[in-house]
Amino acid sequence: MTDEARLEAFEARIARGEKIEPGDWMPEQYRKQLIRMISQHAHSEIVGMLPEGAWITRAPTLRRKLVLLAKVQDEAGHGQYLYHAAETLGATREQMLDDLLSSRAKYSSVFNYPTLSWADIGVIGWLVDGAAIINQTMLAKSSYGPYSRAMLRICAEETFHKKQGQEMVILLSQGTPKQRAMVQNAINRWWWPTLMMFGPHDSESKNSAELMRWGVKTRSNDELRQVFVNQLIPDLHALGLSVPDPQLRFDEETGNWLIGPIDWDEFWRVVKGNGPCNAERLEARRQAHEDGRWVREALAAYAEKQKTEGPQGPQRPQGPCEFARP
Amino acid sequence: MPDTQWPRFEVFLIEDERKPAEHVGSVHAPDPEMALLNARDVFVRRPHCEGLWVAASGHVLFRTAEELARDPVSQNGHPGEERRYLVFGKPNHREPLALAACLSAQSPEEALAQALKESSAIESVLWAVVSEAELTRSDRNDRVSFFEPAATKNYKLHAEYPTARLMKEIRQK
Ligand SMILES: [Fe+2]
Ligand SMILES: [Fe+2]
Repeated sequence: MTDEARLEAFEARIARGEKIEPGDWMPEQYRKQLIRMISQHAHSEIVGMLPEGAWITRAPTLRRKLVLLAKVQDEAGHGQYLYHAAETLGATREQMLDDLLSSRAKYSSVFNYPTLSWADIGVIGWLVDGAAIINQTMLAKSSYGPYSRAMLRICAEETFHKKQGQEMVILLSQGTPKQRAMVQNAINRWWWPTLMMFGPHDSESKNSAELMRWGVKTRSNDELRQVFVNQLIPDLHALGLSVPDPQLRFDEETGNWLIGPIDWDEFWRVVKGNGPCNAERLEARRQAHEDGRWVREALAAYAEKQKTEGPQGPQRPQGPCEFARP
Repeated sequence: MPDTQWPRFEVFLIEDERKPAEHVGSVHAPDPEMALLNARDVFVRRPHCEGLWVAASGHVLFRTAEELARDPVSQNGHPGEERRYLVFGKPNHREPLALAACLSAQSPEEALAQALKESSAIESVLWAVVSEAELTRSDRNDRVSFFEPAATKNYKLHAEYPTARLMKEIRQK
């Protein structure tokens, strides 16, 4: 079969709604785009632990602390699901981690902003995870099987992230004047960075057309951004909260909430490494990696010892599995 | 020089003992015991898990339907001693890659060829084959430390957060 015939068969499979599995023929460009996208997504989950992680020791109640710990733990798990998906395309875990630690890799720019108050934790859950869910629900329909399956797992957990955040914002918005001011201030700071999470306008997005053609994405950046705005604004208004956009207006004709212009200069500045916390985030990642070194070394030494001297700990019973069969 | 991430292990999860094991992904670990612990941390943060199996990725044979059409499995592979093999199939893109057959063979290729012959009625977009002897499995003694903690942490469930009711009450005020 010629490459052209293969490409035709590949595109026909996608048009039929089939999933592409590792091992199936795929164009090199499809593989490259997916590795880029999935590894960036994985890095975002990993770096995304840092802004919220900073508040674990300062959570106001034990319950809030448990919730926040569980959420941050989930994000670590999401990173792992996604690194696995990228590995099925031939990327190596070593290379991806090295790219992140040596600041060659990109990740979502939203995590380069500081978390200044406890209200930020609620606002991140509702807005940032809420925006992520919209994007990830679309990606769950992605044409690449392992990516789509990782997204399904992630979305189920993200709903908890969003709702714990929304619950916090609701309670703060109905609280004392000081609490209301704190949560409004957090929204003012997170609103625009959250809208930027959906990526550049369709007209500016160089990867979008190809990704849509191959069913990696099924909806455009601007479409998803509009879904998010329409979802959030009525709820925020009902809580007596506002967003920092003087040009925001409701368009009767389309039923959309239309936003004012996004500051793309800021977006590119942060993407290129010059946001308020880029250096701090990477430094924290590198430090965590270094701090874990002795654990990795100990585990490797233990594995080596088992290889040369035989099993060290108690052994698991072998023998036939008992398992349910279809 | 990039830090090594250790060998990869494929992870199979049993949601409920009445259901067949499913392939859920992979983890890296220096040995099977650590792989099991990592699998527990990555894949069992919520209830609905009663068992975990891991096997070094090099010992798991994956084949897609497209690969099989292109290049049918040879019956013999590299024949070794007769072993029990587990064959996993994924009937379509919605259903999981789940245990479909268990049979004796001399190589994973032979096990897959047998499964294809015997269950020609089963459609699968993806197959995985592993020898039972290559699996490291959680057992009843792991239940308390592996699976029970996730089962009681209700605050991880989104249904614990009555956001829709709260919003409704506020709108009515
Ligand atoms: Fe996440
Ligand atoms: Fe999240």
